[in-house]
This record gives sequence, structure tokens and C-alpha cells, in this order.
Amino acid sequence: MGTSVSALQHLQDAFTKLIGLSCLITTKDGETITHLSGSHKFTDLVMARENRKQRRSDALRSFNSISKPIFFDYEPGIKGILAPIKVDSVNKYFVWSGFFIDYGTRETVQRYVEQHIDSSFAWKKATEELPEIWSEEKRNKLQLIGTMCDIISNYLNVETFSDQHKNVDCIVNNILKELTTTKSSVRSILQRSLTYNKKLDFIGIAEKIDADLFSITNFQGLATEKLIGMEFTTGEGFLGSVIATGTGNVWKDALFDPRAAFFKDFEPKGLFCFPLIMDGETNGIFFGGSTLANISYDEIGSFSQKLSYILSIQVHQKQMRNSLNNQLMKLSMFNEIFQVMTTMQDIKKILFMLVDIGINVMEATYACALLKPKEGTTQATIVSRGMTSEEINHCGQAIVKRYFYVENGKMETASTTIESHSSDKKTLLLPICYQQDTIGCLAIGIQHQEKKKEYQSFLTNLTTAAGLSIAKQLSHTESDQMIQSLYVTLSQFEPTEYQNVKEEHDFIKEYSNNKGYSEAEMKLLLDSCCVKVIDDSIIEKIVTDTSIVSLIKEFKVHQRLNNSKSSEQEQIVLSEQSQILFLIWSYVKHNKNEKYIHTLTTVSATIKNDFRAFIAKRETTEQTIDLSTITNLQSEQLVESVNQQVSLSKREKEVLALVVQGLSNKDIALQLFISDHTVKNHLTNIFQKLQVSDRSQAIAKVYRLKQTSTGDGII
Amino acid sequence: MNDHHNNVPLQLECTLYFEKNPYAYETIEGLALRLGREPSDLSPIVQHLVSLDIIEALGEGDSAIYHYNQPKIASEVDLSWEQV
Repeated sequence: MGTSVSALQHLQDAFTKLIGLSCLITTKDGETITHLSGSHKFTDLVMARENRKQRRSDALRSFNSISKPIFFDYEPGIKGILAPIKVDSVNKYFVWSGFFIDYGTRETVQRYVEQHIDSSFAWKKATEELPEIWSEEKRNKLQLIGTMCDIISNYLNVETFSDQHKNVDCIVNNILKELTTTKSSVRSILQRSLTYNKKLDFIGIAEKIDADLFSITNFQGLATEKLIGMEFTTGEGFLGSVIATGTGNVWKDALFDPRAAFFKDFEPKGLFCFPLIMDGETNGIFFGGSTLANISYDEIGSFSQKLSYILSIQVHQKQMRNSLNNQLMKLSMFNEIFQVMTTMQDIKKILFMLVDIGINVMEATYACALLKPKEGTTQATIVSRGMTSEEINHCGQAIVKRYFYVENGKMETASTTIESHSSDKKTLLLPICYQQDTIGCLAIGIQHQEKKKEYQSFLTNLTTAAGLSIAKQLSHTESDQMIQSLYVTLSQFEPTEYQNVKEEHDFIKEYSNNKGYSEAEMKLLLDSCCVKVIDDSIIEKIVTDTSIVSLIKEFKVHQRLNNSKSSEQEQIVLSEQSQILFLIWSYVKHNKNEKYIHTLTTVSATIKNDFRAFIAKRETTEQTIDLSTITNLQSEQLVESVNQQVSLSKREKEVLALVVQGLSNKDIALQLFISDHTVKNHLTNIFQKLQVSDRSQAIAKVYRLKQTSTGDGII
Repeated sequence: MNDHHNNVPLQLECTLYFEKNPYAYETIEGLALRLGREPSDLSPIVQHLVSLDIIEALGEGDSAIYHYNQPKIASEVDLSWEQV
């Protein structure tokens, strides 16, 4: 009550004089607020005699709900007045006034006091001095006390109202301050509001989840979580009615209203609800109340209104943040879809993707995608979901009529909406275009108009990406077919070249795998290899893949430079792929003679070394040699062929021949009648001359040298 | 609002997974592991994809297995487009 206590004391003092009785104001628990006004002997004795607070508290348990001033008997015949002071329509304080006796009862009262309270002189004297009052005067005093209570009540109500406003301002200021930070949330605002506003014991909000459908998303106070997730529609119950009208409302004794059943676990006595409006649209409601007392619009209106504005901003901010996150996620997902779409190499899968993504984003029940039939044909492959053959045909005819039939040479490339075959639903047609040409179409059923509005531009972009990817695949297919035809023609007119190309193919495949080239890189080498011997002018006309054409051109530059031996090569940078293509062609053409690799001037040393290592590895892995089957004569022949390239002594040749037969050092020593140590010495020299580090490498080298010197295969 | 309404990206992510892996058979838990998502987030999405017929469910409840339901392919549909 603060500063108003002294004002009450003054008022009480003034009324005490007017009424002629002692007065005191207490709380509803009997705790004194003011000091006792007016001194009377009986009152002083009473005050000194007992624990008055306890006595008042006991009395108020019976009288706490009185609505007007009443007379009460302190002791039989000794009377006082008890009057309630209402604040916010509730008995918050009480005025105690006393004591007096009814006219003509003094003797009876004195006798009672003497017998039941105290027979001392002081009590006798005090009882004698108790004012003896007529009925009319009693009513006057009662009325005066009532007036005093009304004055105090009005005073305190004004003060409470002012306090509440100050309190509301304080809450609002704090919440607004927090709203500017990232800490602010609907939950924190509701918690803060409930803490500050003692009148309320529950508070919550509901948000729009669909057109005219709302769900409680946050609820504070009263230990129940069951309300969260409960749904209602516009116009349904207390909360729905506020959405329908768009204005806030406060209900008294709501628990007697059948609509209160919505709250299930508790019965709200006082209930309020205000709409959360943003840009003229109701996005939710803010509600709360008390299960203990009624609340009035005056008490809660200003607070709730202000808070509903703040909550509108907070909810909107949350929705904006969610929407932004969602948009970012969508963007990232759309990027991934475009990436997958443009790298996909299977046309059928591209059509699957178009249909599936279309159904997903449009929430459609049906969709189909088809490609324009090749010229001269009328048959197409159609990928669909949720469509009957009849519907597919109907849709297909509409697509043909609009997009595939060229009128005046002008191809239609804009999307459109058509009526469905068997229902009143509409179908969105999105042409799949590539370079001013419509090469196919995606058709999606329109289930929700808003989805069409939201996703049409995305789907248009998607069909464009699909167009690009499909056109690329189609041109690849045509190009592949052309290359295969040229290659087969080669077998008829250039059988030797055809055989060489076959062998080069094997080398390219193995070398590409060995180097970890991608499928596309390997395909480019293989395709170029097939048609490289064909005349430039023919290739340029027939092969549409420009990368093949330019690789073959480079290949021919290699041929020219290596033949001319001019210094022109120093100025030309030739790609790695063309170097490999030329290297393999040269290697195969010159009977796979490793020596010839050295002579290629347009191939870099690194590529040559790589290729040599590859050849060595290839031969090692390919040749499985059973040493047990090699005879003395064969091993000697082998060593002799080695000797043509590497100079070995007679003894070294003998040792090597035995090594090739698979003999150990000890066996060789026994056979040649020399010591183990001498065998080791010979072997060291042999390894050095053959540039190998052990006997297995020495054996491999012998076979390789034999092969390159004769062009033979394995023995 | 933890349903499919608000999660088109996740819906597309699931669709893309099944399109890329047409022979995959996954439980919700398995799919969650592969996509690095929470099973509780995926469950409504997967149910929605089943309702759209994009994926098919074998079995019920937590042990249900989901796989890609390939769109219908109609080959050699006669469009007779030059007659239109």
C-alpha cells in the first residue's frame, strides 16, 4: 500500500471523531495496516488482554465474504462494527470499529463481564463507560463506516489502477527491450507476463497452421502441457470467436459456459483472448485468464492489447525467420536438384525426376512427362504417376497440339493450364525447351492454386535444366551412333587400321583406368581413336561433338610435327589427351616397340615415362611364367637374345641361364663347380648390367628383352 | 508444426535419395542415418511421400521398410501428332 497508509490513517482518525468509536484497518488476515484511532478504556483493556491479531483472524474466517458493514458481538452484548474495503471487487481490507452496547443492556453486560471476563475494578469501570446506543444511532454509525469504506475503496482502486498501469508499462518496456535482442521468444514474453501479472494464472498463444485452422503452440502457467497442439477453427469456441470477429474479448464466469470444455484439465473463471494481427491478417491469438477470480476488461484490456501487439511482432519475426530458413533450405535443395539434373546421363531418369519433383512441390495427385517423338514417327515414351491410359492420351494430345505442332514455323514455348480429361481439375503444362525448340513437356495436376503460384517459376527453371540435359544426352546418342558407323565402315575399307584401332582401344581403356581418368575423359579418347584416321572434312561434317573434332585435329598436328622434325612444335601446346592418343597410336603402329617411344618429339617426357611404367607393369601382370617347364636350351636361347642388347661375360650368361631355370644360388654353385660366394658376385654384376635389383626382376627383364628383340610373345 | 507442410526441402531430399538409389530398401531409422536427419523429422515426410505414391511402404510401424516406387512408363504411345 506504500505511501497511501498515512492518508488512510488521516481518514480513519477523522471518521473516528465523527463516529465516536475507536477504529482500526487490517488486512484480510487480521494484520494491522493503521494505528488504532480513538482511545476508550474498554478498548485499551481489550488490546492489552489478548492476541488481537489471532482473534481478528479467527473472526475474519467467518466474515471474510461480507459485502457490507455488519455488527458483531465481541463478547455477548458488547458490540463492534466490521466493514469490508473492496479493491478490484475483492474484500482486501477490513475496518474494525468498537465498542458499544445496545440501549438498556448495560446491567446485563456488566454482570456478564464480571462473571466471564474480569471482575476487577478496571473492567467494571471500563464497561460502565461503554457508549449505550439507540438503534437509529447504530444505523447511522454503520452508514458512516460504510461511507468511510467506500472512500478508502475508491482511493485504493484508483491507486491500484495507477499501479497496474505503471506495472504494465514496466512489463511492456522490459519486453520491448528484450524484443530487440536474440534472447526474445514467445515463451520468454509469456513467462515474463505471467510473473508480473498476479491476476493471471495461465497464458498462451495459438498460431495459424492452415487456412482457418489454429493450434496452441505455447502455454504457460498451470502445470498442464496438454493444451499444446490442440486445434480449433475460426469461429470455434472462445478462442475461435476472437479470430472470427478480429477483436479481443473478456469473459466472466467462463467455467459455466459449455465452450470452457475446450480447456479440459482446468476451469477458467476469468478468461481473455486477443487476436494477433499482422498486416490486417489474423495469424493467431493471445489468451489467458484465472481459475480463481473473474477479470474485467478494465483490469486486463490495456495489458492484453499491448501484449498482443508485441506477440504479433514476435510471432511474425519467428515466422519470417522460419520462412527465411526454409527458403535457404529450398534454395540449397533446388541447387542440388539442378546439379543432379544437369549431370544425369539417363533421359528416362531425368523424366522420373521431373514427374517426382513436380508431384512433390505441387502436392499433385498426378503428373506425366514426355519427349517429342522423332520426326517421321508418332510414338513416344511417357513417364507418369497417378494417370490412366485415357488421361495420358488426352494430356498427350493437348501437348502435341500446343507444343509439338509447328504453326507457321513458330514453336510455342510458354507454359499454360488445360482442363483435365475426366474431372474439373486443371493441369499445368510446362514445355521442356532447348534453344527455341520444344523437345518435350511436363504436365502436373493442379491440386492447390497457391502451390502453382509458389512453384511455377521453379518448375519452369527445372524443365529448362531438363531440356539442356536431355538435348545433351540426345546429341551424345546421335554422335555415338555416327562414330560407331564410321568405325564399322573402317573395318570394310581399312582392315589393318581397324585391327590397330581395336588394340589401341584396349591400351586406352587400361591406361585410363590406370591413371584414374573419368568415364567422360576415357570416352573422348576412345571415340577420337575410332575416327582419327578419317579425313578432317568428313569428321567435321558428321561428328557433332566438338571436343572429339578438336582432339583429332591435335592428333594430326602430332603426326605432322613428328614427320617434319621442324622446330614448330616448340610454339604449339598440345593437350595431354592428344599426346596419349598419339603415343598409343605410335606404339601400336610400331609393333609395340618400347624403343620407338623415345623418338616421339611432341610427347612430354613425363607422359612417356608414365606410359613406359604402365607397359612394364602391364607385361609383368600379363605374363605368368612357369619356370619349371623351361629347358636348358630355352634358357640359353633366352640369355643369348639378352646378350644382343646387354653385354654379359660367358660365366654371367651361364649363371643367368640357370637363374632363368629357377635354380637357387647353391644349386648354381654345385652345377658350375664354383662357390656360393662366386655365384653371388656374378649375380651382382648381372643385376647391375640388367638394371634390376633381384633375381625375379632379372627373369622378367630377360623375357622382356627377348620379346622386344624378336617381337614374339612368350615362349 | 512438425509435419510435411513446412518441410518441402526435406521432402525433396528424401525423394532425391530414393531416385538416386532406386533399389534401396530403408527403414525410417536407416534413412535417418543416411540423410543425417532425425527419425522424428523424417517420419511425417516419409508418410507423405507414401501418400503421394512416390515411395512404397512394406510393413507397418517402426519396422516398415520404404522403397522407391518407379513412375509408370508407357512405351510407344501413339500421339499421332501430325494428324492434329
